[in-house]
Amino acid sequence: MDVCLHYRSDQKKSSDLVSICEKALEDFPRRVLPSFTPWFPSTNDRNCALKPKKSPPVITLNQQEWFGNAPHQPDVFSSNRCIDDQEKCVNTSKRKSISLPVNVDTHFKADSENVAKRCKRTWCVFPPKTKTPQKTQDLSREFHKTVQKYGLDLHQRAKWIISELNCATQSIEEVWSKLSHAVKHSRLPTCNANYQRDLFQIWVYCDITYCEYIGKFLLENFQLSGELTLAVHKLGDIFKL
Amino acid sequence: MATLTRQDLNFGQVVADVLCEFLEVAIHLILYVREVYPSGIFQKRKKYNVPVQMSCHPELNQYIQDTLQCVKPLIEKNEAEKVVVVIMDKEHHPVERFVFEISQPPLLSISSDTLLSHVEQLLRAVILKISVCDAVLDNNPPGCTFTVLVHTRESASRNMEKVQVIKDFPWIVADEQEVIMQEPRLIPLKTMTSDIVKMQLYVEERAHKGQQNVP
Repeated sequence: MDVCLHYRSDQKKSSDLVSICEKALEDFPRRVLPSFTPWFPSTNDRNCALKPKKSPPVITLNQQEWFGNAPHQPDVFSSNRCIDDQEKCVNTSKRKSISLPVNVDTHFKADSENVAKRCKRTWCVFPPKTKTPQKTQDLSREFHKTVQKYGLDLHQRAKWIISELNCATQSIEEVWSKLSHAVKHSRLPTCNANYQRDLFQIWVYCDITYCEYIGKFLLENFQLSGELTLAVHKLGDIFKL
Repeated sequence: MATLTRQDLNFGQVVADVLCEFLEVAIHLILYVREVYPSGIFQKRKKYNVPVQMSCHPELNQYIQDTLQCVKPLIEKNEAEKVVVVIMDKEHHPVERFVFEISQPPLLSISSDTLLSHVEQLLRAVILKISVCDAVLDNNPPGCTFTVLVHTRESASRNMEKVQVIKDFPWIVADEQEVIMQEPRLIPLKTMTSDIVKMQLYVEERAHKGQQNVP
């Protein structure tokens, strides 16, 4: 290997030049890089995870209905309770289904009325954060007249009121369940809903521009009977479908 | 404000109490928001001054309580690195993993105000993030179930005895398929830093939930 050193003859002694050359030929200082350990997924994850052997319970829709109407139990968040003697022997190999009492029907009937009275609570449902379709709905001539009569803005909120009378073939709880599902899955644009259990009514809020579409959707998809009433804040009932 | 070590006032126990109480609320809310169980079994409650959903199913509640009762000793000794709520499809492949990464400082600067208000505010913020996380997650396939994993700082087998707190509630080392998710989408939800605990919550979401995730 040849080394060429360019230097200014007036500034450097020859011994200095040799030492400069020697330094230049020395190995560069190197540091050992730490071995790369991917943080995700880490190999530790494979070794260090523990889980309960027992699987969580499976709850079917029928059982859910029963539980929804079962007498209220004192449910409080408490992570401090440990009740060994109440632990039951379980089959750990498969997920466990809840077994219900044999007399579920009679139990259900006996309690449902009392529970309905006890459960005085409202319940709201909101759609997920998705973009509202920009497409405007065509209004019928009759509804258009109503909008003009009251001077309503198309983005103003209005509410459809579903009462027990509209739920002849089913319970209002069933309608609420279906409606919640529809709102959550964005099938009803601009809608949020509110179950007024003390009034036995469901209030479905939406923009004026979607009112007719929503009203027809409710009537057709939830098999509602009778007339639905549309109400606007301060004006009261303005339209029936 | 006093500076205390971990041994003072049995501080690990205080942290474990706070965290386990929070995790219980969080697990109920995740099960509700991600529709692992029918919405009919949940009722609205108030915790950290915000509305949350809690299951009214006694067996499910007991299961969650037992799980956390067993996790508590690990948190108390600062041996739990992560608590993960795994939502799995019918084939028991994970579709979502809600990862609570926990870290506790060796020196603790505390006052009663710190514990009572500041930590609660931070935990409330995490709960609020969970309650709206469905907006950033895809829908899960039907028939999902869940499990809770605890990642320990040392090997799992060493900690096996510590977690066996409840009779008839045994623990096992998790299957690899429940721990590893191929090419997940990472969704950070919230971090919190307090004097007693640091925590970050993120979700690992399977890219194609309709398809199986075979490693």
